[in-house]
Amino acid sequence: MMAKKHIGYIENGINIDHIPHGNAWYIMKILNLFNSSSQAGVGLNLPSHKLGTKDLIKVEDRTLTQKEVDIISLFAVGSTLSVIKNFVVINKQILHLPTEINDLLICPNKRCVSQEYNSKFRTFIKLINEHGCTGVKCHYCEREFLLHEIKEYKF
Amino acid sequence: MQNLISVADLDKNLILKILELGSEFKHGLRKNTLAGRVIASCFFESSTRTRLSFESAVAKLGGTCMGFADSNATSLAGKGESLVDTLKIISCYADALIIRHPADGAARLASEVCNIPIINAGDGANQHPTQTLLDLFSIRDSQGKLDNISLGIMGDLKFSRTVHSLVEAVKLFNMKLYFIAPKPLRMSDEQLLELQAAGIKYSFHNTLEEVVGELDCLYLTRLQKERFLDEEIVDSYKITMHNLNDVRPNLKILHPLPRREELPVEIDATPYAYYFQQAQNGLYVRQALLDILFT
Repeated sequence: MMAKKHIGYIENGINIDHIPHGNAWYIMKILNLFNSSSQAGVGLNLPSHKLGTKDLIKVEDRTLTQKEVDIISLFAVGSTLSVIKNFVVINKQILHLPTEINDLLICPNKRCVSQEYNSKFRTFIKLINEHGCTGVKCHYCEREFLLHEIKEYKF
Repeated sequence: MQNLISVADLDKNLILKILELGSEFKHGLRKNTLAGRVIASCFFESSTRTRLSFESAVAKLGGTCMGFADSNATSLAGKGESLVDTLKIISCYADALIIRHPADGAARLASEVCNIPIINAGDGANQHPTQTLLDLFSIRDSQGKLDNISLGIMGDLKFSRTVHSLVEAVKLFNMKLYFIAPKPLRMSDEQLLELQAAGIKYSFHNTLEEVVGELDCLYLTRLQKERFLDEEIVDSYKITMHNLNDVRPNLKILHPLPRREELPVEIDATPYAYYFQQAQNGLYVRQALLDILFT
């Protein structure tokens, strides 16, 4: 009953809570909300005991593939993804970084072959979490970057 | 082994296998393992040592080499053909493809679009794995071992592709590293953290004098003046005859070449000069690599 009260108006769909402040925009793009007919609620700069401020996204009549979950996880590590059916949370998970991600992040290295052939070829980035830092390593040029250094995405 | 794209693709056993086989080629114990094979040598940017040593290795193994030393002579430049199409076409005619390309990651891309073995002969600022293998071969050949070596590396430690790859491979062996470089060109924190994680001991030094007496091998790299404002800094990272007054008798000086002011020609006549043998070792290592790809 608590979950039903917390989720509010979602009857069937998803709720992503505790999104780090400022990252909702990326997830809206990943979910293609701007071109979707699904009802969606987006909360920005909401107060959070855990994060200080957080973002939140609720989408009606939406399910996620594992690939979508992996991609969303990049921008929402530690967030809570809830799947709702008939106002009841039927699945709830904390989002963790995947080990690799395909065809999303564009390598910032201007000399990387994946940049030159970006329009035709996939990007393939391995996620690394070593020495307390989270970063990404390009499959092609083998350069390592912090996540915030990635400025371009293929949505 | 299907391809050689990156030093990260090599484990210690495979490195030792290639070096051992290289020794056999150096002593003339193997030959003609490429008879009937056609190897494409595709150099999209210029090279002297790498290209010619690969082409010599193919010839000495009884294979046939085809290709180009300058991409301006290909349809890629002349007719706007894509790199991928060019590689696919070449792979129709060859049994293996050796590629040098200015874009980082080009060799990895080649390995994904071609169905023949790919050898990376240098992809931009990223990798040059056969240089690393010949560097390791040269240390082993000159010192008789790869473990318990004191290796000094002097010059551009930040941007040098050969230094990055060598240090990556050194993690597999028990070497002590002495880094001699100006502050702006010191190794990145990421690479130092990796060395720490691998248990490799290292130290920083401002001058060669501080450490030259401790070294078994000294690896020099070229300092590019365009990376500096102060020419005096460049001048202070040269080796001189004076530096060699009090060194270990087994000291060998290595350099990937081409050299500039950092390695004066008068050093050539000393018993410590090893860089021309090092370049020759590239032939044996590349013979070994080609042999392993086809056996």
